[in-house]
Amino acid sequence: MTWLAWRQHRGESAAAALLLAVLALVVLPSGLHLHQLEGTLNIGHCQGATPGAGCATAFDAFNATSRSLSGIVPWLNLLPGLAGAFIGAPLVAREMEEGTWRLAWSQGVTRRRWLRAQLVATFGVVVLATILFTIVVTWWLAPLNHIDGRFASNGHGFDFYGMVPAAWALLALAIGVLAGTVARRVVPAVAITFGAYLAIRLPVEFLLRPRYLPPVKLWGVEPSNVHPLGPNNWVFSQDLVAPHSHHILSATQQDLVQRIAQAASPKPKNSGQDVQYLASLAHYLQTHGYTYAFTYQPAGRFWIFQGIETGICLVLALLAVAATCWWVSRRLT
Amino acid sequence: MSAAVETAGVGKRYGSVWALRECYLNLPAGRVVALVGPNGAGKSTLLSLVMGLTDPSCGSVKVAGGLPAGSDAALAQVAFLAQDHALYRRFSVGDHLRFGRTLNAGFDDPFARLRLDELGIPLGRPAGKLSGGQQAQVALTLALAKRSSVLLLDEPMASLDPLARRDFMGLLMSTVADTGATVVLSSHVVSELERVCDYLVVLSRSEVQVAGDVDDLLAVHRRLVGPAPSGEVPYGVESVIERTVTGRQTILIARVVGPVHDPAWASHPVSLEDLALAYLGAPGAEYLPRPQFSAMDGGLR
Repeated sequence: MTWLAWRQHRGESAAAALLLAVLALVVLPSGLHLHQLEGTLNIGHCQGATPGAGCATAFDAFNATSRSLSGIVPWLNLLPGLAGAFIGAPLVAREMEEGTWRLAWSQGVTRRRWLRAQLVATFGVVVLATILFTIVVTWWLAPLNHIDGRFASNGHGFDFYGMVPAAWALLALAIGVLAGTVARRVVPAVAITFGAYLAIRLPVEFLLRPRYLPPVKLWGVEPSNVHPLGPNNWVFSQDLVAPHSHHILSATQQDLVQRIAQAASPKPKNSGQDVQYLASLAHYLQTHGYTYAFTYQPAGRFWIFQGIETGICLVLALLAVAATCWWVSRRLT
Repeated sequence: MSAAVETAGVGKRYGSVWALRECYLNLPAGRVVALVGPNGAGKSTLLSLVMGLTDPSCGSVKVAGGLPAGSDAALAQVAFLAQDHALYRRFSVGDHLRFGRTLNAGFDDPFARLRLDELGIPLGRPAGKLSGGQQAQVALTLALAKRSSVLLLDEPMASLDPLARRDFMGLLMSTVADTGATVVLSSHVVSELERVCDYLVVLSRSEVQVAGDVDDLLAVHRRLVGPAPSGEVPYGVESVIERTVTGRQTILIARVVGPVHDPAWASHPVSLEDLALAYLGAPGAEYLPRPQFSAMDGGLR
């Protein structure tokens, strides 16, 4: 049985292996470059309250690389959808389309067992590929994640870290198999799968994920305190708070206060004095009693959030698999 | 003797259209059953139901002495050759044999290899690169090598050339003789089944019109040639299935209750083909000797 599933999907497996190899080759140069930058410039100490010498240059180099990567990296989030569309969707749909279902299901094995073998084989291959993918990308983006934090929304950590990539791949695959079973044709099933993946992925990523747990609010941060939270938090907002209160100023008010502070502080003569200028702005705000309030998800919640998102994906995947089993054994013919 | 295939009040509906209805059959074991009828009469539906590929909308299907069709036990007892004899295009012929071995406990691999070798079909070739006839032979070999007690063949000869058909018939006969398997063959051409089958089922308009032992059927049907044009039928005729009037004579295909001794009529035996065609041309006529139902279902027919 495993042999059959493997024989039927070895093309897809080869394609996945090829894709991984290409990805590794593409990633290797920029990954080595980033790791080298991090090593030689020792970025690590730049995160302290008093950035060391050379940090500005290092940050510039990083920002350049980061900008060039930020255009590419989010697209990798489509890969689970592709796996679902091109491995999951044809699983049953191609049997229906080419008529081989009559051959497959008239052998001495119930179609429930047949389906189970197919699912185990394809899910195994895809999870294995995703784990390899996660290892490669985690290594690749590690220097960036050291700066931005693997949790941050602008960082690329969460999507390519830990269990989440594999969970999404499983869900996409389960959606694909279900779509192919219901649609019975490969091309519509591919389209449905990809659409359904996006329809689930985007709301979960952008609406649900920030709210898995209520964000923490930190009040009374003094303006001179540059790094009050430490690394790896997912910061949603940093707001000015009116003196001696818990009243967050409106955007207009915050803007106004910043302008007043700027007017009160001496303008920098050249860009090398940016740090001093910022310090004098902070000094102005601090002497007038303003504080900052941070809204954020603490770094310690990273694995909790990974667990919650993995759970969501696995529950949905299980539902899709159950629906597929029911459909294949009751409704398909 | 237990029934190889037993259907009780089976119907299959697709939307509002009945592909098969009110089907009561009791096919005895060890026979070669011809399932004939025009295209769209429900032959493939019936075979799919017996294989368990399709669930009936009503009624029940049992195979190999009472196993529910499609159950784990039944799947091992029934083999099926689909009308389109689809194969996995990218699988080699050898892969198909491994497919058969993997999915069937009793798969007769030596037989399959020998047969494919005799047919000159190379094991290494992808199924998609074989000719239509070769593909049909591979699919047929897979079905035969399953060594099941019931063999369902949906239009098995449609893609075979005349020589291959003759070989196929011989193979079928020897398989039945060797294994005692029950074979159900469907076709819309009666003549090609005439030499091999000993049980006939005629399906027409989604319903069973005739079902019975070939010898019994041939014994009670006669071709009667008499004077024309006459509305009368000779004594001994139970019902007229088909009446053809030519210039000088009337030809009847009729079911008789005894010998016809009327001197005005000449009585000839009918061929199976004539018999089947006569029934197919007479939608109202049906002949289902000894209403077939199992003790379990009670007997209302």
